[in-house]
Amino acid sequence: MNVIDIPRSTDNVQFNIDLLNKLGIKFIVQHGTYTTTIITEESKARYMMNIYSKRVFKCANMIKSDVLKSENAQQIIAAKYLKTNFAISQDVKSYSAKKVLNIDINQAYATCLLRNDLITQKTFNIIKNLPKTERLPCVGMLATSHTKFHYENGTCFQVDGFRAVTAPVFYYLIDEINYIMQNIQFLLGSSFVFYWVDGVFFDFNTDKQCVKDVENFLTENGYEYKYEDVQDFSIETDDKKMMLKMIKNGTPKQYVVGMDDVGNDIKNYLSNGIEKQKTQPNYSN
Amino acid sequence: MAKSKKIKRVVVRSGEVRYYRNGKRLKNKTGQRKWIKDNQSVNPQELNKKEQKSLKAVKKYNDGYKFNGRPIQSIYVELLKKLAVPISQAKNKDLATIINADGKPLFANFMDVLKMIDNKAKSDKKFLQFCSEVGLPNYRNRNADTFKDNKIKSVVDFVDLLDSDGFKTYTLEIYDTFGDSHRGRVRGILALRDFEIMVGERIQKVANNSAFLRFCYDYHLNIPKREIFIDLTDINEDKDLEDYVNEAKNKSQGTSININNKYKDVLIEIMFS
Repeated sequence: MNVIDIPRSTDNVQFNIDLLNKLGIKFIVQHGTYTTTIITEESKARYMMNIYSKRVFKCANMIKSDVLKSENAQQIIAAKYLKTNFAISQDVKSYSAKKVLNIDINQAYATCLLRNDLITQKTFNIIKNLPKTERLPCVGMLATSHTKFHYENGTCFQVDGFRAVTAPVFYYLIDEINYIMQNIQFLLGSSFVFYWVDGVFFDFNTDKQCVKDVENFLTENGYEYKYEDVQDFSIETDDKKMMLKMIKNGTPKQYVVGMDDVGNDIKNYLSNGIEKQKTQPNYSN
Repeated sequence: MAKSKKIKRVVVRSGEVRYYRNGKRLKNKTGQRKWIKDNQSVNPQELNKKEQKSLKAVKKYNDGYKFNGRPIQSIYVELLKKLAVPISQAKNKDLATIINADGKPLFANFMDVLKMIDNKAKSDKKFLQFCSEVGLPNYRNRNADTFKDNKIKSVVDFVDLLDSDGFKTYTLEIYDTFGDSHRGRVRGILALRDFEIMVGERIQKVANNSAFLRFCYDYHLNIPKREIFIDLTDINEDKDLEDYVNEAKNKSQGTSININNKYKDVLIEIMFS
């Protein structure tokens, strides 16, 4: 099947859909956050927000293939892993310091895949040699999800959701790295400031033995790491968001992160509403 | 002659307490900590306020549970008891000393304690609820639903929601950015899809380094009418989506932004590489 990659825009996607509808051709539109693909019997047009090189897809396929062969992966897929991303400490307090220590794990997800026998050393080496901007998409493709819009005779007649069978493995990786970070938080005690995904920030004057314990823990678990130069570090938090500012390796950085609990009120309202609906007569009748 | 490790406590005429080892004065904080550690049976009345506080902390440490010498919150011990972990086996109340049937430590690292608790919480709603109620770190304000999925973060999540038992009979209605209605499951989801493509395209035009994009939809219910709706009406027509992105870009590199006051019922999270 022919595959063409095109930058995604409303006009590009709509033009193709309109054309296929006019021709009365049966087709499927697969829509994900970053990519929309239009599939006919003969061809596949991939409309992408970020156009990745072919090596990204090749590497993602290698990861997927290894994962599907792995015995550990079968157990992970069968088990229950949280979809909610907890890769951030929940009880973050406002903090500021001229200097903090920052340890970042190198290739955290790729290493986690290797250490848990989910990929081969060969695949790991390929991921390791990719630029950082391509490494995460490769691994992230384990959790591919999209909505399928089925078209026939000029109209969309059906919509289905799809999630890759390997998605639990991606959530497992997030969980595992989160456990590593929580363990570091525990080892650092009161010197701990904050962690985010695969990087941890802590007091510049942390006890040397404590720092050694963290380094040993990472090494014993097979994770390589590096120290980053972080200055003018600050965290400001309120109930709904957290703002992180720092100068990392000479570059100013600023992040705004929504706290996970945002939206809970709506969720609770909904859950209550559904419960109520189950126990009350149907108003619409 | 071997040097003595013993710390000498001296109260000077001004009432100040000083600590010495082998004749050399130690920093007050270090000296106090070490002297208290070596003299836990001292009468608290003979100590100054700082020393009394330090003594209290040492006693609390001795009485509490630990993991490899580091104190742990008592809630973890309570939860492990619920999981039938033989806590009484712990030497000096240190959980790292508990041995499993193979003669190996039951918990190699503290994260193994967390894993055991999380695994139980994933399969036992009551246990999860208990963790939340007692304020276990990362469990506060969570319930089984929030563990499953807290929010609608993409179109595919929405399709799952509409297919779930609670919503199967509901009619979907999406109001697009112009306020036009798209009613029905297929039309509504098509409108969401087109919205996401439009937003992605406009962000990409002004920032080709956007590395992460997420849509968090706040849906609303009209239970009597069995309707579920999302309103994506542009509520800030004076400011273009591109303006929000440009503002963030101008502040610094490596910026992330949340746009929650442009389109009514959606929060757009963007992160740049």
